[in-house]
Amino acid sequence: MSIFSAMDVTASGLTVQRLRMDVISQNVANVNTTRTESGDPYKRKVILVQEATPSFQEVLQSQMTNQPTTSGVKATAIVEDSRPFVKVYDPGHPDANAEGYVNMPNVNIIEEMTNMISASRAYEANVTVLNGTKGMAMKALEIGK
Amino acid sequence: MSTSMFGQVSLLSKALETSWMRNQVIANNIANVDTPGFKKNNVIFEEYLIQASETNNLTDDMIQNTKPQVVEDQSNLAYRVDGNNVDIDVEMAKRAQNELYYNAVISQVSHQFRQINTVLNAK
Repeated sequence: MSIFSAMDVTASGLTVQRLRMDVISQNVANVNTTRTESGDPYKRKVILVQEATPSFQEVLQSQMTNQPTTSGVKATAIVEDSRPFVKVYDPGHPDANAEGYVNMPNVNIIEEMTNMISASRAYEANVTVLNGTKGMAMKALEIGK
Repeated sequence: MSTSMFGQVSLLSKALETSWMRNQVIANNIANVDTPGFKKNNVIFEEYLIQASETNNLTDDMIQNTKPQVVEDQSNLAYRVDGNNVDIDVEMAKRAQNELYYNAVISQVSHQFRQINTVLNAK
């Protein structure tokens, strides 16, 4: 266990929360996008998160030294939400079908805002942990002074 | 309790080791606050130390042989639908508590060394 591994763990948390934020902002920015490159309306995107699996070396190290294997968190994929598009009646819209309905993206703005707050709070929590760890490491350098 | 000059320091360094490990484990819990199915980890040490000290006097060997353990909290009482049982408020409180504890032990270690220094400088 390096003395910086707690900071690495926190950094992985920061990275994941920032990626979440990026994806959320893309969803919000595309809330009215009815035509993408494929011709379909924009599909909401979500990131899949899982606990980072420790490497063989880390497991071996932890078994030998009785230290925890804490390897943080990682984003494994960005997937498209399969929920149906929202149908809106707007006959004047260039993308309207024969009945006058337009397929709007399956982005729910309230859901996105909620997730955004959750991501930013989690990011702040990780920053607090990082500062705390830094303070503890600095304090250790004061031993003997 | 301990007869050696640095006996206290060895106990305190064990406390520091535990506290540092606990900080790392809490950091991991907080980083995984949004990971579906993640179960939080806890560090257990003080309980073992109390157990060891209840039977007879704490020796240096006993302190060295008592090791902090990381255990997974498998409680099925997760109130979240994704099966994650990290409670961010509890973790942040534990983190603050652990930081204060760490700083207190560091002060104690410094104090021990200052005392030894005072003895060595006595004329």
